[in-house]
Amino acid sequence: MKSKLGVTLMILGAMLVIAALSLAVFNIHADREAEKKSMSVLVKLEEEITQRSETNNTNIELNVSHENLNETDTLDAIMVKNKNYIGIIDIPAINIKLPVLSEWNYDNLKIAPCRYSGTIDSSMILAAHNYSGHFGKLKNLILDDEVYFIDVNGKVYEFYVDYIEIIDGNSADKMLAGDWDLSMFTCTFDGTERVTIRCKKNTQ
Amino acid sequence: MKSKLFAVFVTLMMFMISGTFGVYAEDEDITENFVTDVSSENYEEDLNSENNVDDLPEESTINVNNNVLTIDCHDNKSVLSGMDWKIFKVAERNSDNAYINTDEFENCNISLNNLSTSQIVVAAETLEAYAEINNIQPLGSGTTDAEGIIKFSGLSYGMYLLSGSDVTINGKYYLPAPSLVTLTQNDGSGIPNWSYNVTAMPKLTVLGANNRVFHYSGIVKKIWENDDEKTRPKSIDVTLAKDGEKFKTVTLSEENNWTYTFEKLSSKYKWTVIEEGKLDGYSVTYSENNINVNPENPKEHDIEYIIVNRGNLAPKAPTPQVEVKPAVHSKQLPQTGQLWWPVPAMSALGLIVFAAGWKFNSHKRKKYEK
Repeated sequence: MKSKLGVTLMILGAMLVIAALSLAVFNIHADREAEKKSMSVLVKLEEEITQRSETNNTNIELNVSHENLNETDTLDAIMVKNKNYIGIIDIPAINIKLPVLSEWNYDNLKIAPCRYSGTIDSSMILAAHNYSGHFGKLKNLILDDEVYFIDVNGKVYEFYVDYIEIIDGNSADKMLAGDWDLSMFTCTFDGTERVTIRCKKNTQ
Repeated sequence: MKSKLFAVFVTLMMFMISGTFGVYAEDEDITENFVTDVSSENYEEDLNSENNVDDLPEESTINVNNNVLTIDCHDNKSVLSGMDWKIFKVAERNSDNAYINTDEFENCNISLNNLSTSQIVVAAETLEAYAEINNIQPLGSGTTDAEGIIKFSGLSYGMYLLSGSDVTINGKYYLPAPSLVTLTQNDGSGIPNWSYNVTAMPKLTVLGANNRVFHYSGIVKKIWENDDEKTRPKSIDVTLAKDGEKFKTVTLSEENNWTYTFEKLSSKYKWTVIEEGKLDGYSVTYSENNINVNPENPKEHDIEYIIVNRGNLAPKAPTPQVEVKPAVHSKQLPQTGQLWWPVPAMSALGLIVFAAGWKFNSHKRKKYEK
């Protein structure tokens, strides 16, 4: 004879497992969709950068803000699918090459890494989801790994990893602090902290 | 010696720059009339001018240190003390009685021979502007004393530029016109043989306080559009023109970021910029913008000269201006993580709960079977 309580627990347990599997499937799907979207943009962006550098076309000039300096600045961008992209981030050590959006919001983060603060000439900070195709492998970087940023004019900026830190999710001030040429961050597994990669410009 | 008794005289050609400098010999009295422009608050006045020439010495000797060029600055009501003056030697006279520009002014595109009165005016203004822009060091400089007097001595023969600065006295703004003065002899011997004393009174322009002359920077910027960077010229010569006359040429290139700044452009003149030569395959447009405007006197500003060379490649795609509003950051960083942590947690909990239910059922079944 079956106990009502036993059956209830078994159903509850099964539902929890199914929910966990569903969430995993959803995450994997979102991961692949994000990778697909960013790759699609990357191809167009690379074509556009090549074409524009050959024809010397002028790019979109964006007015942007330096959040930590409370000043505004401009940067060049190329519009792809109604989104403004400011360049491409290339990190050979973890085999990622992604377009970079001019500003961050949660819709943009589903497509590609986003400029969180600064410009390429003044302490730029990039944020991205920890999708495996985005910044999910950021934690695997080690000191001195090379990082490249290609702006929309085709100019290549070289950086190297100089410091890796974990910053609390509520410490935006700490993220904006410091004299770094380029920073990149994404969530840790539990989402409460941010894996942060600090880079210096390679002047050699 | 009869040869020494040539009718030697110093021709003190205080080139009359529209009466800029009036000079007269001992027995002459050349007094320019006072000219007033009643249509505005500005007026010009030609001051009494005098030139005293000492008696000729019998001997053909000269001690240039004894020669004095005096500038006397005053109008009918005010003595203009504190007015700065600079003197530049702009030309020597050669054996053919032709003026040859001195080294400092040899690149100034102006000939100082056979000038008409109006050309002398232009020449003086051009040389003054050239000296300012090229930071040429004066032969001498000084400030008028309490009597409005300044003296320069020890000058050799040649042509000189006198350049005075503005002063404000009794609510009036006085601006002296630049002047050309020649100190020479006409005996043809080439030997200085008498001394000179010259007193000159400059022409003054008197302006209202709001119309004071100022110096500004002219920033030239060249912009290339719709062309191929690889095939565009490596450099372009750009000429600065003063009142329509070529004045100075500079070269713009990638090295100076296709920009150049002309300093100390006097607002007395109209300065324009034009590029030299015609570029095949490009159209060119010029524009000027006032920048760095003095909020207290908007007439004072710098000027940005923009030269746009537009190639014949396909025009760029429309470039909508996108404005990104300044972001307001909270303390919270963006949530950049996927929700993975519940997966193992829910899985583990589900399995435990399922196992507990299974166990409970088994236990119940066994108990029932017993």
